[in-house]
Amino acid sequence: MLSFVRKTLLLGLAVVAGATASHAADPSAEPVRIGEINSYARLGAFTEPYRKGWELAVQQINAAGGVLGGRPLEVISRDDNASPADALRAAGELLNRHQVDLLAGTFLSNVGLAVSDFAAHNKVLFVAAEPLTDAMIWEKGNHYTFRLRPSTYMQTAMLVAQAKDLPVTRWATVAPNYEYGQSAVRVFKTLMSEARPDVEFVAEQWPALFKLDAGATVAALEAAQPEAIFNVTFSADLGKFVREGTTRGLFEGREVVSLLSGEPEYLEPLGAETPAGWLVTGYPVAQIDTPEHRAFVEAYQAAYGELPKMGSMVGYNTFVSIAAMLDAAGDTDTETMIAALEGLEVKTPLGPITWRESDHQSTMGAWVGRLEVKDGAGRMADWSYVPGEAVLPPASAVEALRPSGQ
Amino acid sequence: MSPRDASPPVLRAEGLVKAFGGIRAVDGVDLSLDAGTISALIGPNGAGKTTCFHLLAGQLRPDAGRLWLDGRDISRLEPHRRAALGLARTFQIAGVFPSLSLADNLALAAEAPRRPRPGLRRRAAPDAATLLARVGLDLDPGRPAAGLSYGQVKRLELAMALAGRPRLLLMDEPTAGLDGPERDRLLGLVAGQVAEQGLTVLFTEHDVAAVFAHAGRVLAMADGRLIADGPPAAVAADPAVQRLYLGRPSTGSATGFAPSGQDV
Amino acid sequence: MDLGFLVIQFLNGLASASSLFLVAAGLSLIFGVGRIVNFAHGSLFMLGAYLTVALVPAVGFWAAVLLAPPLVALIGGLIERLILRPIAGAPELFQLLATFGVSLMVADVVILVWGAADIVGPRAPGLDGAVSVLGKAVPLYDLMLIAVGPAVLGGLWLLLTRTRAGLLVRAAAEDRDMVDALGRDPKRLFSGVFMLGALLAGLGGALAVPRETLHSGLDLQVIVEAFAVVVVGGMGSVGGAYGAAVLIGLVHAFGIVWFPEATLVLTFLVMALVLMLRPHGLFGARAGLPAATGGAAVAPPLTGVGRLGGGLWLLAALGLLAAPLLLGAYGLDVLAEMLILAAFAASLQWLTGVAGIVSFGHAAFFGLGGYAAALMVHHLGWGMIPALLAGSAAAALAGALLGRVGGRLSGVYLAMLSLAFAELLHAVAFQWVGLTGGDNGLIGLWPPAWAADPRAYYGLTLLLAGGAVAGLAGLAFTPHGRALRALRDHPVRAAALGLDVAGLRRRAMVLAGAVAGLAGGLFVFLKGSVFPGVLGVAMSVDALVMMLLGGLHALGGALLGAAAYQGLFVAAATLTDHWRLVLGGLIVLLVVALPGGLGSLGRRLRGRSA
Repeated sequence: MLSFVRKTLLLGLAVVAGATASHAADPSAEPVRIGEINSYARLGAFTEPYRKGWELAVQQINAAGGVLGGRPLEVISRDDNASPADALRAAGELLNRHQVDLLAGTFLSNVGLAVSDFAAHNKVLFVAAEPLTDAMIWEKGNHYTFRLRPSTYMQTAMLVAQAKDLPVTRWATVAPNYEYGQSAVRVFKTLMSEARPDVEFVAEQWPALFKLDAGATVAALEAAQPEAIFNVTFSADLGKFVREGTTRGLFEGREVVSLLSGEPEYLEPLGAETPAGWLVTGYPVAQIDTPEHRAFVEAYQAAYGELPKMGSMVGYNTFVSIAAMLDAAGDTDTETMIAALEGLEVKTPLGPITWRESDHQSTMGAWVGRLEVKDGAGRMADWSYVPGEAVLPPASAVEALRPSGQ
Repeated sequence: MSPRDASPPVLRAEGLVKAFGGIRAVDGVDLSLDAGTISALIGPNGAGKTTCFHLLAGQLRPDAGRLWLDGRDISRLEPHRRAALGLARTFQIAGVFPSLSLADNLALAAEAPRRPRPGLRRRAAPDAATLLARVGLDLDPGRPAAGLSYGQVKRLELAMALAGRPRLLLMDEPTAGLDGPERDRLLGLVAGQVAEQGLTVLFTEHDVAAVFAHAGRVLAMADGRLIADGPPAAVAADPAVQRLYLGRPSTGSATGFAPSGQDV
Repeated sequence: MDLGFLVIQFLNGLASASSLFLVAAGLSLIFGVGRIVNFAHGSLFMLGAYLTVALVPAVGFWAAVLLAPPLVALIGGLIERLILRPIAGAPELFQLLATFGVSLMVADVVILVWGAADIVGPRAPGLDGAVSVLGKAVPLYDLMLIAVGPAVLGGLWLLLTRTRAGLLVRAAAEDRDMVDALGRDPKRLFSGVFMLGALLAGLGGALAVPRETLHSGLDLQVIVEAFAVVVVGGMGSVGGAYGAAVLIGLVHAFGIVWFPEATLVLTFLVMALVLMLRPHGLFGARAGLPAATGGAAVAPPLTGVGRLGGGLWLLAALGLLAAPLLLGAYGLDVLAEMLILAAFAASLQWLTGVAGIVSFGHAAFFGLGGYAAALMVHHLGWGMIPALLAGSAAAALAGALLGRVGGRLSGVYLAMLSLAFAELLHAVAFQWVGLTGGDNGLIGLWPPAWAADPRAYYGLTLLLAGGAVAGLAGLAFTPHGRALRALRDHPVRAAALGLDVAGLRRRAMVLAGAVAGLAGGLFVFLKGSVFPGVLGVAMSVDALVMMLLGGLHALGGALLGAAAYQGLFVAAATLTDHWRLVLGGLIVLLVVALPGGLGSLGRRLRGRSA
């Protein structure tokens, strides 16, 4: 509650400050309307930081004169109840009732795919923010859908690039039993086997999503005596897995390679119990010291009094990209906007990213490093930024992955 | 097994047994009912009369024993299959379908034995008012059955049992809760059906006067077994029956062999 | 596989069993005494966990574990006193609806108070280490949990067998009228039992803190599993709940070893299997003859609509027909969705309101219809109309199957079997990515050109879904509907009169399946996609809520219920992130104020003016 009040106050101040600035967007000009959809009620832990991120971006953009020569951005935001069907109803409302110029947002892969298909069906641009599934841009990609965040494939490939040099051959995997977990494990096994023909996979655990029976799963993994573990569990499952694994000594003397676990969303709940030494993808927000990132963190802290999370960065970059696209396009015609976004380079807090023409994936990357515990909290150490270009297949290879005619 | 003589009994039971836990509620009952007769099943509370009825009509499956209706083995048949063969019954605690109108209650009861899974088409229904009048109910057939007095429910239930034109009617305490004149009227009505349609009736009853007035034959039950079987006077004189009712205000009193209440 | 590992998995199973047992025992007692399926039981568990975490900084872990459960018991007492008692006379399902409303509210309150982020709870001081058992590490805390289960079971056993209150509780579990006979106020007895159940759920939540990540979805996660335990053990049996918890805990622990990919379905396979072999659970009392009165509140008579009601319905029908002229694409989409949900709710009403069969897994039919239609189009390239028919047929077939398998089950057990069935289907859709696309679903399933215009698809929906709702309402007046209502009132008597009760029930399930399946198919083409959510618990609950909101026995109530529920949902979700709090509160208010559902509003008003 408190943070909400503070946020509202700060935003209000920012808006007032922006409005009095001479170069602010002309409030009387017809705004560019963006329909935004995400799982705020059900997945607030991830979508709250994301919302703060895009609200900051929109406020900065409008304070700096808006888009298309003075038109403000207006975001109409809807909750999707973490359900594709509800997201589609919201998309219909945004498009048909509010006449938005484009759609943006979504966190869950299935919601993202549903809205992506809706966009193709209704010939409207959709800039997906967070969904991870590779299908978004590859086997179910379409002309109208773009996606910002590095995908399951990209993040797994980043981990494999380092995991292949580990002196271990016996691997076990643990992943939630649904599309995301299955894709991640499939990509990991394929890429690892290519890079290291000598590795073998000695155990697979497939806990049901958010129903991890931690003790039994840890015991089963331990029984297979792997030298290293590839972990895909996240959120509630991750907390249980880490605690049981630590108590039972599963991680002692074993390498653990883990997707997303270095993101502040997942590290913060773990706190002092963060498993040191894990090789992860994530976002070492407090340690990145580039001027553009510093500026982003400072503005974010000024508005919300806390450090950004991964979602904040994604929300921010999504809307910064949309603004850049609009200015490049010159108007809000869907085909013009799509043409403008294809190949567009956008300056973001983590450096320039490009929206690839071949598969509509942005080259936003992620940080790879080892987890450590410092002052009772988890953080990443020995990290480095891996840009998306480093792991994305070349345009020629992507052609074959996408449906023909898209 | 069943000896096929000129007129086989409507109902024949052999060695019926039903136990709940360790208690044998019905313990080896044999009986046979001839067409067009009225028989009474008597006995103190807990003697096994109601359990016996459940076995005959199929609400319970016997642990042992066999049953024939008109010479046909019905031991394993579901209750509705027995109803289709002409067996009807009423329950000790009367009840009808409260959310249906009186007419619908009767129409349903009339059709069910021949149409166990009714479809969409409405068949010609019996005249509800006539059926109601026959059991002494002067009510609007369109009104719902909910809200009837107990006596009215009791009579409607009987009307429903008769509406299906059964061969055999089992009545579990048909007159409980009714006063003297009503009792006689109801049993008289049933007796009329027996005479007109060749209906066969078995009923349980606590009221001695009613048993003597209407039953041509009495079966006495105790502890799950039949202990006497014969004309009313003979059974009343049976030493075992007398022993059973010793110490109770019985002979001559209209209130019967035992205080009314629920059986097993 | 060495012995040490087997022993470890055995211990893991027992530790999980203790957690499960604490939740399930309370649920079972509450059902046994009050015949209430307490949907908010998972919420009480969740509150126990969150309260413990909140208390730890102030009083330390162990004191928090002891303090939180009594607080949860107090909350339980309030729920019972303020919400359940006023509707004590309403049909049992309305109490389920009220507790569902409570669970919605609690989920949002938890987010408002403790935030949406996951909380990895504190460890138990003194028990945060592990001991070596046959060379493997076993957490000390697990060993304590293993002991807690039997200890609580023993305590409950003493309470139930050695005290007068316990005697009453057991008597009430077997026969509710017995309590009256024993001269005790049944309301106070139920109050006490509800608080005891809440206490146990709170204790379960408190003790789960060191093993569980706290988040606002814990309630649903716990309640479904707890239902399974209660049903497998036998409703109302505390010892049965422990036995079932051990069984399911062990099945999980060893399932992870031998079928790591099937953990989601194992619980429900066990549940389905147990129900098929032992219709009253492993330790449930086997009821002899169903009670003559059935125990349920008497359904109101089915009457035709009055002149005023008829006029209103005519107006509504005209409005639906004229909608394409008045509304835009979005409005028509929303209206089409409402009609589809109304058909879904009406199919449940046919089952529950007309035939007296309760289903907690009605989404099974809706989702199966949707997936069957989607798969026909996606894998076989069928057209929309044949696919819709195939979806309806598949769901009807499932209805026949469930009717055949569950024919012997009564009341709440059949409801639970349907829940298990839906959960199994959901697991298949969620995990069999090759066939169903898994969580990513199947997309691109838009109507063909002739129905692509929103007006055309709305017309099709009005014809099929609207027609199904009207058709079911009309069917209730035919001899078939009359027979179903009779067997709902009194199954034993209906059978004695000659009705084939089992056969009629099967037919009701086939028809309900067909209509729900058709609705599911229409839903898929409306959304252009299908996802496992259509088979989820939330979808089944939606159907129940819409049916009950509209009125269990009110003809056309499904339409009102769907309109109200969807309207409330869309409005609340558009206005606030905390729509669950708003919606839950409204549901509770409606149930308390109008237990006959919206459909009874007219009757009430007429009654008042007369």
